[in-house]
Amino acid sequence: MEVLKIENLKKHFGGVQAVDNCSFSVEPGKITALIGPNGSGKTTVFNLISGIIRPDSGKIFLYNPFLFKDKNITHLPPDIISNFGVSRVFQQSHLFANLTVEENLLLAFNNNDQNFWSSVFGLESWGQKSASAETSTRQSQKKIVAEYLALFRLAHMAEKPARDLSFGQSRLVEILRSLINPHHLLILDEPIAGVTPELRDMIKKLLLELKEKGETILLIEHDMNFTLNVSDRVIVMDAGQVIAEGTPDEIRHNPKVLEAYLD
Amino acid sequence: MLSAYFIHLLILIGIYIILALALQLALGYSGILNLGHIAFYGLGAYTSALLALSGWPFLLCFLAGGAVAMGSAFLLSLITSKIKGDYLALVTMGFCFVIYSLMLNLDELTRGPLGLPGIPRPTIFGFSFSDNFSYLILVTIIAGLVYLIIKRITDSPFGKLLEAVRDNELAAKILGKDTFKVKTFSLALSAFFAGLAGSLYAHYITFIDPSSFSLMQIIPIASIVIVGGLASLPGTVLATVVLTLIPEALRFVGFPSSILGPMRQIIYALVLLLILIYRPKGFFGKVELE
Repeated sequence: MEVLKIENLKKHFGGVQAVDNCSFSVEPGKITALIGPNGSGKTTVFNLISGIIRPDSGKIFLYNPFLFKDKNITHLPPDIISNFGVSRVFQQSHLFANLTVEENLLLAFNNNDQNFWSSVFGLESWGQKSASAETSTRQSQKKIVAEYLALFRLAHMAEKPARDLSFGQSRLVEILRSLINPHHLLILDEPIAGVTPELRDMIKKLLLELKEKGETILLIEHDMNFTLNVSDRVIVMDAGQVIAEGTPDEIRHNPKVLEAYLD
Repeated sequence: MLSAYFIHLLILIGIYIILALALQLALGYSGILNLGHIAFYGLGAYTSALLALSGWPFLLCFLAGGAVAMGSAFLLSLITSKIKGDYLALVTMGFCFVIYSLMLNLDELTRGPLGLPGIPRPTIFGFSFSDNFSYLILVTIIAGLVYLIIKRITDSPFGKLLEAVRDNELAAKILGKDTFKVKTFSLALSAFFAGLAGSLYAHYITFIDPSSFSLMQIIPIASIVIVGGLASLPGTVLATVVLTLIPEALRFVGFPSSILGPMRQIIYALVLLLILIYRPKGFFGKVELE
């Protein structure tokens, strides 16, 4: 059983074949790293998985743990894919700049806020929880947020707008937000790019802890040392294709990989 | 006792507050660059006036004005689902032109440029708001209610979701939010309140013609929203009062009426420029748009 299965994915932009017949899969409970030189198509693959762009051809399957079968998510929009269980962190900051850190995180819990009548006036509708249950849920959500923030030494920023965060802090908040967002696959695009060594260790520890808890993580990272240390499996892309796959040790000694990086 | 002139001003301020709060919901909170807001105001005014002239009671006319504006916002949202930013501004501007043209050319319904005279003053449960003082009370109560409702909306999780969509729509989608639904709802609510303001205007002046709802009317309202500060409700109220009173002060300087109109536009432009230079977030605004 694979959490994510990608088959013969193709995507071109103008004359550039960004993703070219790319196939790989992600196993549950493991950290899989997607590496490759700049422009090898890694972020495009992420954009295809999360539905931001649509492939020219090929298929993407996501395992649905509730129905015990694969779901074809190839041409679905991003919000539906997210609700099927893919949670993503972007390469650049995508926080809600004018909302507070706490509000940013509260938005991730569920989509009850989309229901206007129950959200604004506390009115019950069929299949909805009562207004008082909603309030107590809100309280417990706030508690979870406070615990997370305290754990990452961000408690003092809870009430500050997200635009006041430093680069490293906003990376952390974004990772936390993707954790809170209900999911069974976490995809992280360069989670440690540009952060301090101290924060890098913190994120590494967090990722390993998440794996212990059974999380499935797919990440893109340029830092080889970090990637080969943290991941269980490594997929190497070059020019839109998968050129190698294996454990970190196998990848370290793979001549194809060395060639792609030395080119 | 308040002078008749001052009461008149306060009524207009009340109506403008509703109109500006409505725009604040769509523009300030949801980031929908809607330049067609006046079309909703006009639809509310015409719907309410036409129904009242055919004998409907005021409360129904009033709510119908809001409902028709709301319905048109749903349609506009469907049409514009794929566009945003500058392009959305252009299409909504076009929408305003279309509604204006309909008012001008659907002669049999709207009497075209002649306008609709003799719109009755409201009567609610037997009480007639025929004098201006009682009308001021009516407008004040409705403006107060609209303020409270919009405050309740913007303070709720739904309101935070609106702001999230404004700040970063892609991130909201990645969190699983149906941003189209959220934006449509926001635009429809904004249109509803604008329609109510239109109805209050029609029943106050008792005469409406298309010229009151031309595209240019968006300038004072958008100025109010920007000067008051995006996503600030108290700022909107303060800016409405200030921006309505400043041009009125000119009357007492003794300018001829031919200069008064253009002077008003100059003042809006000037206030807008000064605010953008010295206080880019407006009076009480906290929001910075990219």
